[in-house]
Amino acid sequence: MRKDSMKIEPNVWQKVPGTNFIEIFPFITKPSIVSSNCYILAAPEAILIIDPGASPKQTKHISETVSAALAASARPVLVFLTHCHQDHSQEAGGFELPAGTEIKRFAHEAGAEALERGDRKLTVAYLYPWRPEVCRAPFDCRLFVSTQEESKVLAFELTQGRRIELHSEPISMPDGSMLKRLWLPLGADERLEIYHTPGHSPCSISLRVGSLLVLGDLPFAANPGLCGLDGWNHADLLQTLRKVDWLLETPGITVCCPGHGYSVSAESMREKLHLMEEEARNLTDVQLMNAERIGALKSYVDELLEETAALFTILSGRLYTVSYYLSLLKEETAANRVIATLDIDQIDRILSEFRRFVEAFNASEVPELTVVLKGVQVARSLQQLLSEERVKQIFDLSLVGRAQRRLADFLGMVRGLQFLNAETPSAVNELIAQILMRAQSAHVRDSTDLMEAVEDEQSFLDALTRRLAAHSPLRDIEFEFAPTAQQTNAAVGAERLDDILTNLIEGMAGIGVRHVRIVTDVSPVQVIIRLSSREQINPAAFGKLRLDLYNRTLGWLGGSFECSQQIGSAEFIIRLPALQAV
Amino acid sequence: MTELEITLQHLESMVVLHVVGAVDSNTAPQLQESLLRAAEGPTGAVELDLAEVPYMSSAGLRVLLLAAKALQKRGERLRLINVPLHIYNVLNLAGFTSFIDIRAVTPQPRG
Repeated sequence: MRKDSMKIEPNVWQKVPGTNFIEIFPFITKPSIVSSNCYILAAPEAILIIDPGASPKQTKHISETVSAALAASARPVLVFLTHCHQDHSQEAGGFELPAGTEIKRFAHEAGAEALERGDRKLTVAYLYPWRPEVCRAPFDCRLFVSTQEESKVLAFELTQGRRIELHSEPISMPDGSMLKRLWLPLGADERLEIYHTPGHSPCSISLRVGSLLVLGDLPFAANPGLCGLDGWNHADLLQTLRKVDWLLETPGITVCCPGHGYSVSAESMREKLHLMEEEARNLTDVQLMNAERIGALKSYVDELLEETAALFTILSGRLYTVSYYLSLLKEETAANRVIATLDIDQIDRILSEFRRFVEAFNASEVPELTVVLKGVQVARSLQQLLSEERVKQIFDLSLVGRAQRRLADFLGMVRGLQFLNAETPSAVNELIAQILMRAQSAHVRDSTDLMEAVEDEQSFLDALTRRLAAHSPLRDIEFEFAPTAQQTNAAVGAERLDDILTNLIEGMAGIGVRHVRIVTDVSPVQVIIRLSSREQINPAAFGKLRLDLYNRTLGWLGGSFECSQQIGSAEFIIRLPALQAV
Repeated sequence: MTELEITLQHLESMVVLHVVGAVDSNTAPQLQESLLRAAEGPTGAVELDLAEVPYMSSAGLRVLLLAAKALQKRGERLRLINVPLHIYNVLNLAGFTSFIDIRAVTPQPRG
C-alpha cells in the first residue's frame, strides 16, 4: 500500500485515495468545540461539502474554493452533516456560490428535524455564551428515514430532469446485527456510502468515498466532557464502535478523517477506537451533560485548580527544602537528584498556563465547556507526571495520594460518572484517631533507618533524603480530641474524609496554629465533626475556592462543609450522612 | 498581567524588593534576576515585600531557594515581609520557614 494513500494534507486539493476521479480539499482548523473541520469533495457529478462548520471566516474560504471548482465544471452542491451539533452545522446555509448553483442539504432524519425546530439541546447550541442561531437552512434530503425500505431507492429531484438516487443497502454484520448503509452515485462509477453511526448523537453518520472514511466526532465520543452531551447514548456508541471497527478491518479503507484534528491511517484509528471502546464500556450510568452541569463543572475546575496548585506547590517546595539542606551538607549531587524527582518545572508550566487560560476565559466569551475540556487535559498530564515511580520512592505519599485522588475525582465527574465513593465507609472516631497517631509518629521518629544505612554512603544519603522529605507539619500540633461515645459510621469514603481533614489540619498548622480541637457528634442522620482552635484561624489562609471544593465534594456525598466565622477565629463544621444499618 | 513590577529600595544596610503581580513560571525569571542580583551582592540584608503578590507557584519557591542559598554563603537569611496568609501557609507547609525569615503576614494580598 502506498504511504500517501494513508494521509490527507490539510488545505490543499488532492486525489481521494481509492478513487480515479474524485478530489478532496480538507479545511482543518485548530481543534476546538467552536468549529469543526470541513471536507470538500469534487466528484464528476457533484461537489460535496461535509460539515460546513461554524466559522464565518472558514465559510468564506469554502465558498471561494467551491466556486472555483464550479467554474471549471458546473455541478450540484450536496451538503452533508456528520451530525447536527452547532460546531458542524451552523454555517450550512451561509455559502455564497455562483447564481444558479443547485444546493441540496443532507442530514440524518433526527438531525434534520432538530435543525428544523431550532432545537438548542440536540444541536448543543446552548453551550455557546454568544447564543448563536441554530442553522435554519432547509435540509430536505433526510437520511435513514424510517419509511425508506431496504433495497429501495429514494430519489431527490434536481432541475433539468436530473435526480439524486439514494440507495438503501444495509450490511449484515458477522454478529448478526445490521449496519444501516445508504449510497448514492457520484458519476464515473464512483459512489458515496453513508453509514448510520449513532452514539455521539442519534443523528451521527459516517461517510465513505473510495478509501477515505469521514467519521465526524465518533473518535471523541467517550472523552470526558463530551460523553453525556444531549443525544449521547452508551449502548449505541458501543454498537457503533464494533461496526466501525469491522468496516476498518476490511481492506478498502486506508484513511480516516475526524471532525476535529488531522486525518489518521485506518490502522491508527482502529487502535484509537479500541482504546475508546475499553473506556466507553465503563461509562454506564453517565449523567447527562447540560448547561447547569457544565456551569457546575466550570466552578469545580476553578476550585480544583486552587487545590491542586496548592498541593503541588507544597510538594515542590518540600523537594526544594530537602535539596537546600542537602546542599548545606555539601551534597550537591544528592540535592540535584532530589529536585529531579518530580518534573517541577513542567508541572508549574502546566498549572501556570491553565491559570492564565482560566483568567482569559473569565474575561471572554469562550464556552464553559472549553475550560472543562482544558481542565481534563491538565488533569491527565498531571496524573501522568505523578505516576512516575521515582516520585513514590521519596515522597510523602499522603500528599501525592491526595493530589492523585482529586484529579481522578475530577476526571470521573466530567465523564458524568456517579461521584466515586467506593472506598471503605468511615468510622469517623477511628479515622480521626488514626490521623492523630500519624501526627504523633511524625513527631517521634526513631533512627533505625539511618543506623542501618550508615555503612554505605549512598544508602545513608537516601535514608537522610527520605527523612528530610517526610517532614510533617502536623508534628508540632497539640491535639484535643473529644469523640462522641456513640457510633460514628458515615457513608463517606474513609480516604476522602481523611484527605479533607488532613488538608484542613495541615492548613491550620501552616498558619502557625499549634492547638487543634476536634469534636465529634451524631444526630439520627448525620455524623458531625467540628474543628477549632484556642488560637486564631483565618479562613483566608486556605483560599475560598479550596473551602468551596470541600463543600462541593461533601455535598455530592450527601454531607456539607461549613466555615463558621467567629470573633477572631473560625470553626470548620463537617456534616456527613450517617451510614444506615442494613 | 504577564510581567512583574519590581521596585528596589536601597536602605543603609539592606535592599528591599517590592513585587507586584503573580509569581509563576512566566514571571519567576524576572524575580530571579532582581533577587539574585541583590542576594549575590557583597553585603547587606535582602528583604522581599510580597504585599502585592496574589499567587506564588513552585517557580517562585525555586527563586526564593536560590536567593536563600546565595545569602547563606555570607551568613545571611532571606527575609520576607507582608506575606499574604495563603502564601505563608504554603511556605510553612513546604518547610521554607526553616531557612527563610518571615517578618509579617497579611490576611490578603493588596491590590
